[in-house]
This record gives sequence, structure tokens and C-alpha cells, in this order.
Amino acid sequence: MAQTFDAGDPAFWRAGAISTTIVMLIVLVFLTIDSLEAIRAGGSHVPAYTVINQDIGYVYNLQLGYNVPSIGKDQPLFGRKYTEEEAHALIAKGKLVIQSRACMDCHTFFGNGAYYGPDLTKAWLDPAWDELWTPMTGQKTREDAIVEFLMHPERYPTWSREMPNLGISREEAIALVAYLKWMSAVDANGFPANFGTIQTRGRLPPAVPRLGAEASAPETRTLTQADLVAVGEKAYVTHCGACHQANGLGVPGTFPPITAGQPFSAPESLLKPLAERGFFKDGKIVQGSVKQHVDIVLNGIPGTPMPGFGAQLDDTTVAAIVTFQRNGLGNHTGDVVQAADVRAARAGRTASNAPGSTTGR
Amino acid sequence: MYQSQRLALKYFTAAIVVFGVMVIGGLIAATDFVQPRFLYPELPFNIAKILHIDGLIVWLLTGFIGAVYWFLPGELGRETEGVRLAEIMFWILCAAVAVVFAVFVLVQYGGSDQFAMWFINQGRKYVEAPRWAAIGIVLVMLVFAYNVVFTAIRARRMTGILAVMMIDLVPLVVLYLDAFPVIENMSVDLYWWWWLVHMWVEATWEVLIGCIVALALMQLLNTPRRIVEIWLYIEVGLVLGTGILGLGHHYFWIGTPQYWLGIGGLFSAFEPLPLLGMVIHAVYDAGTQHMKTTNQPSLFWMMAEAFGNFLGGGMWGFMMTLPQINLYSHGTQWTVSHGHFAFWGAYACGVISVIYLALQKTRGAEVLESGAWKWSFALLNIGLIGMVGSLLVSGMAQAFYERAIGGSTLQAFITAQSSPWFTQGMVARLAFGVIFAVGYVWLVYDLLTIGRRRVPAPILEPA
Amino acid sequence: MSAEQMLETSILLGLFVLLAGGYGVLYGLGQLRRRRDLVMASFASYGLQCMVAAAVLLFTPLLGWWKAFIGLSCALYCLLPPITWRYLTLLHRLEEHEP
Repeated sequence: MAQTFDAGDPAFWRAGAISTTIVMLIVLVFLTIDSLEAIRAGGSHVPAYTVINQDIGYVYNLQLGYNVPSIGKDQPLFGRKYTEEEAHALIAKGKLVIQSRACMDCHTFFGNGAYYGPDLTKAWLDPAWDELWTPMTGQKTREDAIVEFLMHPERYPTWSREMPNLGISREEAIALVAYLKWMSAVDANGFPANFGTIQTRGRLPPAVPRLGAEASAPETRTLTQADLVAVGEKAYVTHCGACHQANGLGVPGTFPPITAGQPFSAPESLLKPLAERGFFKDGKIVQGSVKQHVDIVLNGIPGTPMPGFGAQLDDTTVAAIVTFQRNGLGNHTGDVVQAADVRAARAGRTASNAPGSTTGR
Repeated sequence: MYQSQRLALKYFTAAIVVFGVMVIGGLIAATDFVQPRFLYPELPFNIAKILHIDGLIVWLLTGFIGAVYWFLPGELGRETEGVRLAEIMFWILCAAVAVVFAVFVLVQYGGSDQFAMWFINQGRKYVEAPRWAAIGIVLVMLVFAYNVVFTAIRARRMTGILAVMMIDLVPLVVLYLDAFPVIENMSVDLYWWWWLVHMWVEATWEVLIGCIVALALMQLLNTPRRIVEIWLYIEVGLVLGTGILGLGHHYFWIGTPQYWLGIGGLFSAFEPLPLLGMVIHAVYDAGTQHMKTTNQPSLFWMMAEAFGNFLGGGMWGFMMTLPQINLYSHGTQWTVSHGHFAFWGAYACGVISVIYLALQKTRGAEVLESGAWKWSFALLNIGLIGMVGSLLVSGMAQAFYERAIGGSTLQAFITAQSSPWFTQGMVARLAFGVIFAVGYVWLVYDLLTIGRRRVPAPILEPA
Repeated sequence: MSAEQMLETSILLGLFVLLAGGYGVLYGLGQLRRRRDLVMASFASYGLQCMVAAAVLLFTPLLGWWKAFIGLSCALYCLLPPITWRYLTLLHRLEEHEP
């Protein structure tokens, strides 16, 4: 006899709920078995811990349509190669540090955690280590800079939101660096998208298209001041506004104003390089030369939070920003900087004749 | 009144107290975004956040436990089995929570060793509590499960609602075992962590609140048991049918295979369906009573539960669940917007509704009414929706600038979060958070005072 | 997908769910209170939902099978509130006759 559907009988719906749940659970179990195989260290998506001995990148895969980690030739970490046991021990230690300091309650890992600090999935590959923290911490390598930063984060702030000192020892910091390097080699299906890679300037081509990357045909036209200012204003807000503020007045004590004539007071370690470059005098920000201005935007000021933007921005954008800064935000120099000037500045600058460089000291 | 119901009132009191701890943690954390040097470095952001999110879990769990202790004797016609033991566990739970939170604030962190894991801070979101406390929580839950199951055995009775609840308690307790291990491989750690978090708040907790709401609706609106049971089975079928593989929407970006983007995205997209069902169900039941009962606060909070669950979990979730969008929204304030709205709608409103239901009986009021409940209802909901809206603005700005345009580097992070859309959203969020906090204070006042004076019964129209 | 497209698509998807909810709630209320204007409003909500679905199909860069999913869900959803409502009333009628 056919089973008739009795609308008012809960048993029908109960059977439906039970069978649905069981089917879904069975599927989940199968998928779990497959996924766990893929994500174990050495699986298809997650590298073995010894990947910390190799050069890691993040490259765009045309077929997949997103970025995937690239694992390259040998690249010693802290000047040495780690065995499987040693690497495993470092990763295990690193995870204990991450948990004991509750890093996930400020930062995210693969986008999971808290949203006060930046995502750390590809932190090992962040350009800021080379451009910002290596000079700031006075270290020679990226990993040493990270260790120094982690041990004394309060000494190297880059923004108004600061990382507190968490009592991280050198041994713990080393383990954390290894952890970050290993984690950056995990294939996370393209998250985070379009992450910038370390610019190995002059040696290798950039692995991924960068923001405003210079095309193979460099800009040769002469642009009007109006055009440059229009482009420069937008670029200024995007790249400079975080610290120098949209109104160009900076943050007292930390980030200098762009507007000439504004008073500025800060630690000597910041005022001295500014004065050397002609941008600070008698307690006020003054208008330095175009050449120094372009140099600062391209290369930053080593030993201070000002990063170089030469790797990120093309010649036209740098020219536009400098032109805007010198003709807007309360300044009226009438100076116009072209892309060709910026290109010449890149070519002409060497480490030894730059003011404030460590090789000169 | 049964002993079990007296215990329920203790649990409800604890829940509301911890709700206050959550609010304080939230205010501090929200202020940090606007004024980063606030209480810095004595109380850094991560500690305030731990108080906030762990306070959330604890107050909701104690609310659920209280609700079950409240309804159980009525369902089975006898006192809860082992209620004296349950009372002892309650006081142990309170002491443990107090110690854990005090250690979070005063000690904050230990070294990278097992001592820290056992006694200070385990540092995994929602389950930061050290292992000794996690063991305590497991014991409390086991006693709770024993109470429920053995009361039914002694009563030689079972109802559909209770059967669903008891079966649901098994995964609820077992999943908590993920609170213990230190797993060095972050991908594997997150894989199992999401079994705990997702299968709690998007599966077992949904089933549990479904059972609790079913019990509440029978009392509040005299909805017939059979109808409530049918709806419960339909909802459970839909929640688990979509939510079990909807777990995959947490497996897009943690290193797991690519097929999770399709599977997780698809099932997650269906997750609003059961929530829509709950809304229609609530509208029907409340509509037959013309939105008038002898317990208006409980009714209004129940409606807030239905709508909040649908909008916060269903609509807000749907906006960000497709992988192409989630790639950019993942791990931003957009997530926070969704989280606040969903937790509030799905669970907080339901717990508050049940507390008002219990108070009606406790205070012996024929009609439970006050002026204050309307104020706290308005302020809390306006505050919450304001926070959610502000966070959506900040979150969309962050997804736009930091992830989509900027590529998630440190520079992108700084630039995006300095942008006016982001910063102004954070200021607005803090302002609405203050409104929410005021609403909370009013709620406490109302819960302490409502029903203590006689209110004349209104003339109820026939359905 | 570009950053702008991401925001636009997500807003359309949110509206899709919101309007679906509007259809369900207004339909239920309208039937309960026997008010034609509410039932009409519910159909209007559904109409808007279909327009939003069309916008998703035509103007967003989602892949083919996601668009198919949105389109199909929208089409099938037409039946959901009326069927749910009929079932609810049937249940309550059964309850009155055999509690």
C-alpha cells in the first residue's frame, strides 16, 4: 500500500530532518578525510615545514585566475638551513607563541581572528619589512628585522594603532618568523588577492603586477600642472593621507605636515634627517628642493617611518604627487615635476651619495 | 515553583551580569579603534576583545541552560533530576568564569609553554579560557546533560521537542573538545576550530534556540504543541540540511581544497531559508493574537529574535557568502557587522524573551507590563542596528580599499583604515555602542523591577 | 571582479534576500488580516526581487552557474510563501478538529 502524506503528522517531518542530517554528515565526513589529507604539512595545499629553507613568492596563475605561492631555490633563514626536526620544532614553538600571546585577538591568520592589526597570512612577503622596518631597526636581513620588531614593537611604530610589547623573547621571535614564512607558502586559493611581493630591485622582475606598475613604454609626454595636480591629489589621499592626513597637516609629534610654514615638533631622530634634506628649519616645516622631495618620495627616509614608494608607484604617479604637494595643501611653489624627472632621479641615485644613508655613517 | 526553576533564575541572573561584562569589553575595544592609546598598554585591544567575545559566549550559554532548567519540569511534569548537583555546578561555573576573566585582565598572557595553556590564556578565539576552566565547562555541561536525560527517564515521558534537544546536546558537548588541543598546523587548527564555532552557532545552537523558542511559544501564544513540533522538525531539517555543508563557507581561504568554494558557497546560500521560515512562523503566531498577549516584552523580544535572525544571519550573511565577494570581505569589519547582527538576532533576543517569560511567573503577574521595557527594547535595538550599519560602512570601505585595491599589505591596511569612510564608521559605531550600553542599563533596571506592582489585565480580543 | 563590482554585487544579493523576506512576511500578514493591500504589497516585493535577480544576471560578473542559481531560486521562490501559508492554515485547521 502506498504511503500517504499525512500533513498533520510530525513523524513525516521528523523522518525528513533525521535523514537530511545523516546524509549531510556522511558527505561531510568524506570531504573531511580528503581535506585533512590536503592540508597536512606536505599535503597538496600545505607545504612541509622545511619550506622555511626556501625562497617563497606569490605569483599570478593565469589558468586558475588567482595568486598561488611559489616555492623557489634555497634561501637560508637566519643564515642557516633547518632539518626536518628543527623546522618542525620551530613551527610548534611558533604556534605556542601565537596562542599564548593571543595574537588572533588582534590579527587575522588566513583572515580568521580579530581585525585590529593587519592580516598575517602573507606577512613574510610584505614589502614593509624591506622598505620600512629593515632600515628602522638597523638590521641587515628581513628575518632579523622581524625579530627585532617582535621583541620591541613599541620602538618601531608605523601608525597610530600600535602593537604592545608582549614579552616575546629572541627564541620565541625566531620561531614566529619561521611560522610566518611557512604560513606564507600555504595555498589559500588566492587569499589575500593581489598581495604585493618583495621588490628585488634590479635583479628579478616583479612577480605580480603592482599598483601602478610602469608599462614597457615609459611616459615621455609633458603634462600640464593642472593634469598632474588632479592625478596627484587622488594619489596623495590614497598613498600619503594615512599619515600626512588629507589636509596635509600631519599628526603632531609623529607625521610631519606637508604645508610649508607649519610648526612641527618630534624626536631628534626624525627632525635631523628632515633638516638635512632641507625640509625642516627653526621648528617649522619648510619647502625643500624638488630633487630632495622626489628623493624622499622614491626612497623614503631610512631610520624613520617614512617608506619609499619607488617600488609601488610609477614615475607619473610620483611626479603627480610631488607636483600636487608643492602646489596644493597650502603650498604655491609653481614647480612642475614630470615623469622623466622621476625616471632620471631613479637612475641617478646611488646608495653612497644619498643623505642620511647608513653607508655614509 | 520547582527547584529547577529557581536555579534557572540564578542562571538568568548570571547571564545578564556577564552580558554587562561583554558590553564593557565592547566599549573599550570600540574606543581603541577611535583612540588607540585608550588604556594602552595596560589593557590592550586583544584583552578587551577577549572579554567581549568570551563574555558573549558565556552569557548566551548560561541563558540557554537557564531556559532549559526553566522549561524542563513543565515539559515532563516533575522536578529536574539531580538539581542539587546542578546548583553546586552553577556556583562552580560562576567562580571559574570570574577567575578566568580576572586572569585575562590582570595576567593577560604567559610564556610559550604548557603552563600558559593550562592556567592563563589559550589564545584561540572564543576558547581562550585556559584548560583547567575548559575542563570545568565540560563538567558543567555533562551535569546539565545528565539532568535533562535522567529527568526524562524518571518521568517515563518524552516529547518531540525534548528529544530534539537531547540529541542536539551530544554534538554540542562533544564539539567543545576542540577547546583543548594546541595544533601546530594553522590550516588543520582552523579546520577543526570551525567545526566547533560553526557547528555551534550555525547548527547546534540554532537547533537549541529552536527548541527553546518552541517551548516559549507554547506558553506565550498558546500555540498548539503539534504545530510547534512540526515547525521545529522543518526548521531543524533545513538548518542542518544547509548548515552542515554550509560549514564550507569557512573553508574558502584556510588552505583547504578548491571544491569548498563551490560546496560551501552553495549550501551557505541556502542558509537563509530556515530563518525565513522562522520569521513567517513568528508572524503567523503573533498575528493570530493581534500582537497582544499578557507578556508584551516577551512577545516583542521574540519578534526581534525572528527578524534579527533572518536579517542578521540570513541577509547580511548572503551579502558576503559568495566566494567572489568573500575574497574581499573576508576578515574585515564587514564580518564584524554580520557577526553582531547575527548573534543578536539569533540568540540574544531569544534569551531575553525567555527571561521575561520566566519573570511573569516569578513575579506572579497576570499581565507583565512596564514603561521601562519599551525604552530598553528601543535603545538596545537602535544601538545594535546602528552599530551594524556603521560597521557595514567601515567594512565595505575596508574590503574595497584594503583587500580589493590595496592587496592587503601593511600599507594597504594603514591606508584603508585611515580613509574617512572607515574612520567615521568607527566613530558612529562607538556612538551607537554607547546607546546600546544605556539600553542595557535600562534592561537591568526593568528586569529588577517589572511585575512587582499589579497592572490591570487588558481585554483580549478573541483570535 | 573589480572593487566597485564587488560592492554592487553584494548589495544586490542583500536586497535579493531582503525582498524575499518582504514577500514572505507581507503575504503572511495580508492573509492573516485578510487585507488585499498587504498581499498586493507582498507581490510588489516579489516583483522587485525578480528585478534584482535580473540585475544580478545582467550586470554582475558572477559565473554562469551562480547566476543560474539566483535565477532559479527566484523563480521557485514565487511558490514558497503561498505553499507555506496553505500548509500553516491546514495544520491549524487540523488542530482544531483533532487536538
